[in-house]
Amino acid sequence: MDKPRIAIFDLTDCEGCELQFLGLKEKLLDFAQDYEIANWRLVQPHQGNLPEIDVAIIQGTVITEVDTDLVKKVREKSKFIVAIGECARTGWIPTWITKEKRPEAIKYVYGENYQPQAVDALAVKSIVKVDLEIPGCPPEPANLEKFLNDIPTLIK
Amino acid sequence: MNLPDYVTKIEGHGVLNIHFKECRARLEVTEGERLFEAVLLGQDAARAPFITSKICGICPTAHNLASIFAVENALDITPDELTLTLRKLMLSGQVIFSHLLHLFFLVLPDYYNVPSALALADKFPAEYHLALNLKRLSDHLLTVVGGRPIHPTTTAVGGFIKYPAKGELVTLQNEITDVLDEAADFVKIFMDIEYPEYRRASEYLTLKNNTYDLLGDIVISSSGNKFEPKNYREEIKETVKEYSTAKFGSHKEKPFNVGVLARMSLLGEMLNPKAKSLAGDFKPDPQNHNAFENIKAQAIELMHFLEEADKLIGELLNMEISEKPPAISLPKLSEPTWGIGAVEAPRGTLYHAYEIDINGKIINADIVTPTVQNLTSVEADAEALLHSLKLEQKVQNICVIELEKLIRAYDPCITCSVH
Repeated sequence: MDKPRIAIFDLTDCEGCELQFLGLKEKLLDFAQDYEIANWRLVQPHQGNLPEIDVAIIQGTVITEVDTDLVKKVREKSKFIVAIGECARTGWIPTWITKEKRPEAIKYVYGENYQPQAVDALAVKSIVKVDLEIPGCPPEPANLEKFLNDIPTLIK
Repeated sequence: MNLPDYVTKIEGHGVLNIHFKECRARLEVTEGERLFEAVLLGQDAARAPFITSKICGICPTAHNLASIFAVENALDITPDELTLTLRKLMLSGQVIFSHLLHLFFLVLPDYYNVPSALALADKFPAEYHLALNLKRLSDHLLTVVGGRPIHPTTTAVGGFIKYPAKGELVTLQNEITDVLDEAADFVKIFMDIEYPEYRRASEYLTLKNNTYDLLGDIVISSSGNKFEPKNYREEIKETVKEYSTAKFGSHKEKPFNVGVLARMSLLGEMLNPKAKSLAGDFKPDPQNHNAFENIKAQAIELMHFLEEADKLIGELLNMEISEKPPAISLPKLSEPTWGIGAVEAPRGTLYHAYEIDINGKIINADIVTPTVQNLTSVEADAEALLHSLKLEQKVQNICVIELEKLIRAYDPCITCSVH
């Protein structure tokens, strides 16, 4: 059987969730042997066109149109989507500014006449179907490890 | 499916845009606006450190502590010696954690000709082993003092809500002692690499204290000028650009640099012994600035802060540490008051400034991150590097590779810059 193909995507966030994978240390290397990592911007170069993915791991809040498009494309390409961390799961701190209050907040931070990239602040599941959520800010390494161990069962 | 063309192996989302004819390059920061300053409005000031640590997963401790110092400054609270020493230890751990991530996981693949740090494991198992041992140590240090490596849980305005047990500190100190020789080997990897050569004149700015400990009441400049952190807004200007969701910093209308280069250049005399000996003749010179030297300087600092952590634990072991920290009650303000906190984050001086009202709520907030201060210099360095690439080398794909290496050498925290 081919190695399961996983891919890690970060939307708008602090990147603490994906750093928790590095915190797995030697175990991360084992996972890198067992699975093909098709995308992980923080750690490896882009590998051209993204292939079909068994398990997509998404972290971060959906804030820009690029985030929204990415999440939709990832859904099309993936058998299974996991939202890790509170930003992907609930939208978290960026949602404290509601869509209505956003223009005022943009003005407060960037001044007049600034064209923002941000549209709203949303959880991944408000855009596409999410198959599994791993909570935490950031998630506990033990929970991430368990999930990585479970991947072969998840995609059966 | 094509992915956005982000520069990979950096923290956050930016796209490199090169104008070959004009010999210019831009790092277009495309991270969505996160609006933390607006998020803080109306929040209890005592809560700010926990909110602002979420600005960054790489340097959460720096944000958490700068935020605490800002609130304490407004409330006129002076932290006691134990609190201050624990905070310094956390900052040492923060720098080790962040530099290690950058040096090994983001930068080294550029110079060892492998696509990623995961590929380093096969070809360079000894180096990988060193990096993981240092990672284990920095994670442990931040856990013992801060509660966990990412987003601290033990800190508070006015002190700590949990102290480390002395037994844990002893264990930690032994782990540091055990790793020092290996760490020296790790530092040498980065000292021995040959980096791209170009030079330009810049200005370096850092907080200065009586030791090289990431705190200080004064910001000093390589130009000889100095200012108090509370006056940062008169000194450091932020400009909004239409192609970037991060602002661009300047000092006296010019690009400048904060961070490891500035610290080593201006505070290098205070490096701890092993770090000093590893540095040898190496000293970043603002008049002959080369951003790739940031990599070497980070490696030296990694050793310096291992030694610093060892020293600080020594001091802590001589102090009385109660099982439970004393209860904290915060004073009330009689009028709205600004407080400013500044620390040296891994990438340079980080300012948090809040105006707090008589109910303890934040009514104004301003945060200036190191990467914002460095962004103007990133473009100046990109231009200098493009000019230095010999004509025959000016094949576009080589320029792209070299510029991406330059951006990576800077260790920009784009996540922080769009806070």
